[in-house]
Amino acid sequence: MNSNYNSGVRTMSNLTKIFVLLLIVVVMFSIKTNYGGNITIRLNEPSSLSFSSSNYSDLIFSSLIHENFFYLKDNGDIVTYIFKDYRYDKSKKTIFLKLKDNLSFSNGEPITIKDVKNSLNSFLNQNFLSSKKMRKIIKKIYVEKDIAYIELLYDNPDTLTLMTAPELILLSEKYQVFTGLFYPAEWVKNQYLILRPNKFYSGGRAYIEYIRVSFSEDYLPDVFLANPGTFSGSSYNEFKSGIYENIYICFPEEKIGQNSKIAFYTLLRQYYKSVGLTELNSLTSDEESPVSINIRKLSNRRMRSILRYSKIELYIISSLKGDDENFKEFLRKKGLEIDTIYVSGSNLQNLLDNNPIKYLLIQKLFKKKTLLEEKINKIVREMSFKRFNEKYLKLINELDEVKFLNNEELLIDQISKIIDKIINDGFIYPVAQKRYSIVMKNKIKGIEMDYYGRPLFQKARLDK
Amino acid sequence: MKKALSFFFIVFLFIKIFYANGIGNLNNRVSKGIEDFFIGKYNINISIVKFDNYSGLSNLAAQKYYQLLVSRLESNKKINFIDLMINFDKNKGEFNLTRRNELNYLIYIKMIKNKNKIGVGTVIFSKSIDKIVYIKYFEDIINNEEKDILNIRNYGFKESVFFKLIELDSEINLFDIKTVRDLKGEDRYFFLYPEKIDIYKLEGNNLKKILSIKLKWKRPFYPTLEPEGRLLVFYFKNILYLAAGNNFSPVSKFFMFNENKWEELTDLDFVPFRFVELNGNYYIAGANYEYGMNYFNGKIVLAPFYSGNINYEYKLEKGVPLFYSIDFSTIEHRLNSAHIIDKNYNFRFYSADFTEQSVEKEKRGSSLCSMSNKWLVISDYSKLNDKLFFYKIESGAKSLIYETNVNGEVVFISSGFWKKADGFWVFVKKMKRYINEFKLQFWSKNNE
Repeated sequence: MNSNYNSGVRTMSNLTKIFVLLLIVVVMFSIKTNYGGNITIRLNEPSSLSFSSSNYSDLIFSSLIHENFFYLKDNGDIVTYIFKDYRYDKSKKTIFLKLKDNLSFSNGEPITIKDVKNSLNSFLNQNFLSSKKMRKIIKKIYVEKDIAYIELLYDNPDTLTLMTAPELILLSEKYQVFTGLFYPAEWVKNQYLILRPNKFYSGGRAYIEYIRVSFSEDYLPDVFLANPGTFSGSSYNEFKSGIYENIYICFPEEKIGQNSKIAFYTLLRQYYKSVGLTELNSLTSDEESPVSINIRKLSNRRMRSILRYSKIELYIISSLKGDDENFKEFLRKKGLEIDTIYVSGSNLQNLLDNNPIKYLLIQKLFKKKTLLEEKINKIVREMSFKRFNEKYLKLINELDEVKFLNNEELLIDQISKIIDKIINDGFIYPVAQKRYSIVMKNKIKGIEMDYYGRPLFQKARLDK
Repeated sequence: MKKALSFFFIVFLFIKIFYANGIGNLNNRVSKGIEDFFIGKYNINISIVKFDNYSGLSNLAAQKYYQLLVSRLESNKKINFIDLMINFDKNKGEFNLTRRNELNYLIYIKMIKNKNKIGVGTVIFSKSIDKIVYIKYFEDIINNEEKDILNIRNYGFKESVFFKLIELDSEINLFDIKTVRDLKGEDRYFFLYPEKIDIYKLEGNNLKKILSIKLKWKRPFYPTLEPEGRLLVFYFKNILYLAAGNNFSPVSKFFMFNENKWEELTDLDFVPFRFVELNGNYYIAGANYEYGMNYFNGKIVLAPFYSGNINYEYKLEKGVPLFYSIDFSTIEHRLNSAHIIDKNYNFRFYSADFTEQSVEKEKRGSSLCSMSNKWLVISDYSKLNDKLFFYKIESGAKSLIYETNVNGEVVFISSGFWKKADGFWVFVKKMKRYINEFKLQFWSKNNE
C-alpha cells in the first residue's frame, strides 16, 4: 500500500514536471519574434574594421560586419545568404555560384557577381592555410551573367566545405562598405563600438536594434568570453567555443643568438603566467601533440643580464594590443626596456618582406576539432615566413601523402618529424594558450554557434 | 473509469442546464419588457450604451448574457437595434458612442445579485424628450451548474459557430489570397507569392491555374528574415484592379485588367490593403512596412484613386501606432471602422475617422481580418497552439462570439469565399516531425 502510494506520488510528480515543461515550451515559443532591444558584447578592441581572424575576439567581431560566402554549421550543414543557388558539377569539375537578385552593400550599392569573383581572388591571394589549399585546387574562375564558375583542376567535392572558411568574405573593391548583418555606426576609441543592422543584409535584417561592442569593464555585458567553467550565474548560459588561441614568439630573421632567443622566451613565459594564461609546451595543444616541447628557461638574473643590453624591437600582432599596459608594467618591474610595435595582420607580410624583423609576437586561432595535421600545416605555412624552404615543402608534401595512407602511426610520426624540425630550426617557440567559452544571458535567443566557434547573430532576439 | 466519470459529468451538466435555464428565462423577461415598451413605435434606432455587471457572474458570463439579449433584440424586425459594444472588461461594457447621434433611445442595463438570484435592471432613456421613460427589474435563480456552463470559454451560440470547410496543402511562401467574382460571374482565386501572382479558377472541387503574373522587384531591396506581403483585388467602374506589396520592396506592383490582359500601371509607394470610400471619394488604403521588418510604420495612407490613376498630391495620412496587421470594415466600399493589431500584440479599434475607440489589454496574435463589416477574426498570442477568435462587428460593435483552436501557427488571415460560402482563408504553419507543413484552410459559418 505504502509503495503504491509512493509510486502514485512519483507519477503525479512526473506528470507535474511534464506539464510544467510543456508550459515552458509553450511560453518559450509564444508568438512572433520580438523586434528591437540591444545586446552588449564585450570583446577586445579591433585595430581596424578590416577582416581579421588572428584571434577569437577579432573573429567574432569580423563575423558581425563581414559576410561569409558560406557558413558551416556544427552539424555539417552548409548555409549561404548570398547565393540563390550553388552546386558542384562533378562531370565539369566546376562549382556554380548564382547570386541572389537585388543584393546590396550596406550603402545600397549593388553587389554584382564580379564582386563575388574579386572577393574570391582576394581570399586566394592571402596567406591563410585555407587560401593556400584552395589555390592548389582551382584551375580558373570566371563569371557569366549572374553566375560565378570555379573550375577545379581535379574532382574535389570537399571544395565547398573549404569555402566555408571564415576568411572567405564578400568585399567591395570600390567602396568602404560592409556586407555583414551589422555595420559600424559609432566608434568611441577605448570604450565601445555601436553596430546597427545593415538593412540590405542578404540574409534578412536583424531583429536586434543595435549591438554595443564594449571594450571596457564598465558593466556586465550580455555576451562575453570567459575561461571555460569559470563563470556561473543562473541568468547566463555557457557555450563551449571549441576554440583555443596560441601565442608564439617568432624569430623571422636567422641572425639572432640562441641566448637572446631563450632569454626573451623566458621573459614572455613569465609574463603570460603572471596574467593567468596556460603555459604551452607544444605547437598546437598539450593534450593532442605527440611531442612535448621543453625549451630550457633561464634564471631571472641571467635573463635580465642578456636582455638589459639588447636593443630589442618587439613587433606584436595588433590583436594582442589589449595586453599592452600590463606588459609595459611587467617590463618596468623587471627593469627592462623593450620597444613594442603593433602591426595589423593584413600588413604583416608586407612588413616582413621589407624589414628585418627579429622578434615577432604572434597569435593563432585553432578549432579544437580540426585535425592535428591541418594545424601543423597551418603553423608551417602561416608562421615560417622567410624561413619556409624546400625542406618544409617536402615535409608538408610528405604529410599530405601520408594522410591518404590511412595509417595513423605513420601520420603521427610525420607530424612529429615536422614539429622536431620546426623547434630545432628555432624560428618559433610556443608561449601560452587561451581557452574560451562564450557566456550569454538567458534572455538572448536564436544564436547559433557555427563550426568555427562563432556565435551567429542572424536570428538573435531578446525574450521580453 | 475517469473517461466514464467525465462523460457522466458532462451529461449531468447538460441535463441541469436543460431543466434550469435561469439565464434564458431572465433574458426572455428582460427582452420582452423592452420589446413591449417599443410596441407602436416605428423607425426608431435603439442601442444598449451602458452595461454594468454587479451580479458576481464572471466577465465572460455577463458578456454571454449581453449577447443573448442582443441576439433577441436584433431578431425583432419591428425595432432597429444597433449593437455598439466593442469590449467588455472589469464588469463594464465599452461602447462605440460615435453613432450616438443616430439613436432615438438609449438603454442602460445593470446586473446585480439578490441573495441566490441574479437580477437585471433596465432603464430606457428617450433622447427626444431627454427623460427616462422606462424602468424595470427582473430576477431569476441561476444555479452553480449554469454558472459553470456560462464560464466555459468555448461556449458559443450554435448559430454563430464557424467551421473549417476545406484544408489544402500549400507552398511555403504564400503571402496572401483574394477571391473575386468576375463580370461573367466566374470565381477567380488570386494567390500572392514573393515573385508571382497565380490566378486560379474553380473546376469541380479543384483549383485550376489559368495565369501567372511575374513580379519583378528592383532595388532598393531589403531582404527579410520573414518575408510577407499583401494583395488587393477590386473592381472600379467594371474594371478589375490588382495590387501587391511586401516587406522587402518599398514599392507595390499595380495592375489593371484591360482587353483580356493584365497591364502594369505605375508602382504604388505603399502596401495596399483595401479599396475604400470616404466622404464620397475613393481611396486605396495602405501603409508602409518598416523595411525588412514584419511590422508597419505608424501611418495609414489613403491615396485618392480615379480610374487607374493615383493622385499622390492629395494623399491622406493617419497616424496610428506601429502595427503588425490592419483591416478595414466597409459597407460596400464605405469605410466604417479600422482594426489593428499593434506591435505589442494589442487589438486596437478605430472608427471611420481614425479615432481610437478601444485598446484590448489581452494580447492577440499578429493576424486579423474582417469580412463584410460583419465579422472579424483575430489569431491568438501563441505559436504552437494558435486560436481563432471570431468577433461580431456589425454596427460598430465588437463582441466575441466564438473561438476555436487551430493546430499550428496562423500566418495570415484573409476574407473571401469558397464556392458559395463566404468566410476566411487562414494560412497555417504546422510542425510535423520537425518539418514545417503549410496548410491553407477556409473557415465559414454553417448558416451563412
